[in-house]
Amino acid sequence: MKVNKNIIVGICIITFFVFYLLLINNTNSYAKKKSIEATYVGSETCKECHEDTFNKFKSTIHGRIADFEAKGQVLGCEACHGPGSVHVEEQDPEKIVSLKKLTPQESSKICLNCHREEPQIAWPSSTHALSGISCTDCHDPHQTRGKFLLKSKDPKLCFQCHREKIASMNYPSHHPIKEKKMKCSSCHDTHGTFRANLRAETINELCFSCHAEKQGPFTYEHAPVVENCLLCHDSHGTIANNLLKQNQPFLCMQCHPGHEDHYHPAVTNPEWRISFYTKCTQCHSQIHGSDFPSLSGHGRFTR
Amino acid sequence: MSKKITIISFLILFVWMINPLLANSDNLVLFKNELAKKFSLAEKESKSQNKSEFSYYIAPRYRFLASKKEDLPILVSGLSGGRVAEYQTVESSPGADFYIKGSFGKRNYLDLSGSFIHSDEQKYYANLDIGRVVRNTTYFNRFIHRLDHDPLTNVEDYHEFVFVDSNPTDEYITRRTEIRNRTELVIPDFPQVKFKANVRYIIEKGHQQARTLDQCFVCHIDAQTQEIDQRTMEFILGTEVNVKPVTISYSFMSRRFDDRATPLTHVYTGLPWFAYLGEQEFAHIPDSDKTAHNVKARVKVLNEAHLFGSYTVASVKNKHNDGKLDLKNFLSRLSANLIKGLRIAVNYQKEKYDNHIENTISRDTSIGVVDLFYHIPKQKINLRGKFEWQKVKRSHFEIEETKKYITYLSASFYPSSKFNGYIRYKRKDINNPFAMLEDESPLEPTQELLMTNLYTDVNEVICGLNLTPTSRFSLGGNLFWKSGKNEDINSKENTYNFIINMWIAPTNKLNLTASYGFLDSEIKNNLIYGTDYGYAMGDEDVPYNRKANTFLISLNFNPIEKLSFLVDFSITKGKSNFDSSDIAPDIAELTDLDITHTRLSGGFSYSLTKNMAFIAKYKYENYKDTAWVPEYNGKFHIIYFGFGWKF
Repeated sequence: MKVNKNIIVGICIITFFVFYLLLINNTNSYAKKKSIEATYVGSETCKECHEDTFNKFKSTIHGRIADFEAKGQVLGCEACHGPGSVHVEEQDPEKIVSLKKLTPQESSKICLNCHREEPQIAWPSSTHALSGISCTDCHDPHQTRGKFLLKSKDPKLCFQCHREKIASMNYPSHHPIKEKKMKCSSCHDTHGTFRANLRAETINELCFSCHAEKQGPFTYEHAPVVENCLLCHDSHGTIANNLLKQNQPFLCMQCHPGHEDHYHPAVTNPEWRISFYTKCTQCHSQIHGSDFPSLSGHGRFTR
Repeated sequence: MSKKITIISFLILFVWMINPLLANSDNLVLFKNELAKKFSLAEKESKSQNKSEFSYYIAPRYRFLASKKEDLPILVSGLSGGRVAEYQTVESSPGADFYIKGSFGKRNYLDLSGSFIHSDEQKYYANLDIGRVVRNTTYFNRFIHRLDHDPLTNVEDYHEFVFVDSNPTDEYITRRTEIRNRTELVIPDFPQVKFKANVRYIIEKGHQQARTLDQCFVCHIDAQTQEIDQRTMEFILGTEVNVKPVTISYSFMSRRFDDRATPLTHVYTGLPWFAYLGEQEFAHIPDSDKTAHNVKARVKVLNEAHLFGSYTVASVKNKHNDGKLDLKNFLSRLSANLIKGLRIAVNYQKEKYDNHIENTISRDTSIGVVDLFYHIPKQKINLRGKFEWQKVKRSHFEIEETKKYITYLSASFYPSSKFNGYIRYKRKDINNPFAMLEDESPLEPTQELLMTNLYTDVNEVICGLNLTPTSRFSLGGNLFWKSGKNEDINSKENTYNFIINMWIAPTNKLNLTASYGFLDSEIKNNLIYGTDYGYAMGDEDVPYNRKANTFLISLNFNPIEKLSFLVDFSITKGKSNFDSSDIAPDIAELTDLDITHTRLSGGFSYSLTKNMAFIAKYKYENYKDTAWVPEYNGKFHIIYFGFGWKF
């Protein structure tokens, strides 16, 4: 792979420019908020007033963390809410960290203090983070039901923001999300490792992880198949069958002229035209690629 | 590539080195005074955690299919889309849901749950955590997918063809079983290092229709029943090192795909100069192997600055033709706060797709993104602007270079907890989009022919509002508009999509959710077709129209403490058609779609005792396409009865 030197130089300049700005702007509101002089009091103290929350928390994954996982760190309620002595003494809800009152970035930062590894490894530069979404918009650390401390189940949780997908999941052709055989997270990593929050580096690699029979590489390839599955398909649901963007033959004829056969009256006889102009994949059935040539000796995907 | 890796490595090293110098970390401010005081909930609880605490639930039931056999063709769409019970079994059968959840010993935890509906429809999940040292998760998921069966109605009256299909009602189904197991191991003395082993095994078994084309004086389509017996086995072994401020992970993936079905053959007849004659294999699915190495790294420069990189080297081999392709993907991102509230992310991605099979496409893709996010706390507004640049260079393909420029702007606002909204705009300018390009047009042999379904200019707007005037009522809506045009070929698209949601809870005992979605889309493109006199193009761009209406309603009602009702209803009407009058006058009835899919499920649960409930449920689906052959429509009624115990 050839490296474009200009791009590398550009990246370096931007990087060092950013570092410079960081040095001169190393302040944030969260740090100021945390300058309250308080000390840690322990989760048992929290229990005295917040018994329900304490009992719920105890049975969550956070309540089961082992000492070796968080060496040198505070565990329990104050791991996220900060030292609580002033809050306890003054009984003032303002004197403790409430994630609800922080900006999305500030509240996510508390979570990222521990969750640095996969799948959160790329969270700070993810689409969700850059859209003002925080961890607690989807996760409830006190949640005891369900998996991954989610506020509600996938896909219901995703549909709260991505409403347009509610309708497309109900179109006649769809992946089995409505039937609870798949979830949005089967394809998307909401923490944003790769582009478009995909679980693979590219769209095709994602599709091939389940549809491996279409990955080839074939001797006779269909160009749009290797370019991008989404040239013909819309994975979120369509009216046309097989998640095709449009029904055949319209979809195919946008890129290919229809038949004009010199050997028989295919184009003159209206009945024959029905055969040739209804559904291209009746004959070109191996449309995703084939290792066999067609009768002409070329790859026409008929075999 | 090696230069790039070196530069990025130095960058990471540099950042790591200077990090302590810059580490005026508010994180340290937060914890510096009390690190020694470890009031650990886990510590205090550890003694009491030696006892076992489990909760159990089991709900056995029986499912009755209440439909007549003739109501259940459940087949196939052929040319049309959708089908009733596409991913569901509908036979009468016993079943059960269950879970076992709880802790045992010191910090050990088990979560086991499952749902058995039918031998072809079952799902299980198991999560075992042994002292936070070994964490193992296993998923098992099996479901069916009813596949296409093309009745070839459009050709049977006019062509001689061989048709050896089985009964599609029973046979054209694939049963998909997926088993996934993920194991994580942490050595307590070295908690910074995590080892991972993932296994994924997919079995697809069933039958599908396979077709091939033979040719003599007329065309023949041979449709045969093809056995499906495909296995995908995937292993991932990896490790992750997490030493502040750096996280590095490495994984190796091996995926093997095997098709174990008996190959199909057909005796090809024809003229002597055809490429092959006699008995030959067709519809072959090649076995393949894929291996991939992936390294990901993130370094935290300051509290708000992160550098992330990912590098993947993969190789795919087709074991039938020995064809091989190599994939390389490099991704880097830097995100940081420029000034208070203003965040920047700079992305760069390079992908190399190198196919070693003769005359196949290889591709180099470069992508650069600058993303700015500005949060205004007082006005409670988020602003985002993004510019993306993409370049794709291809070999062995007529469109050698494509460039894309994507601009994205968005604003979201939440002035109060009762009101929020957003608006997003995206513009794409594309030079030479992926297309079919031939040296000679059949219409004008002296000119090139360019055909594509992609656009050179795309504008998209999506906006939404949410209102929550009271704690018992909320209303939200989204509007999406897309306009696309390709000036090179004079094609265009206009799409509108609107969805509105409402949630209302008039009392504590009743809540209702309703959604309505509307889609209206028109695409116009040039279609070239054969005539008596050679090729022709329609006088005007041929329009393709799509319309869809979706209505969903869900109701929860608990009239008394012991009794709860749940009802879900949805109806989707989808229509699509195109003006084929110039191309072939009679194909409209074979390609147009006018589908109505209705689903209703309702049931109740009545608590007989504190731990036991009686559960009943009714489910109905009806799929109807009035534009396609009516005998493919289907409906079913299913009734469930069962009990649930919780203890």
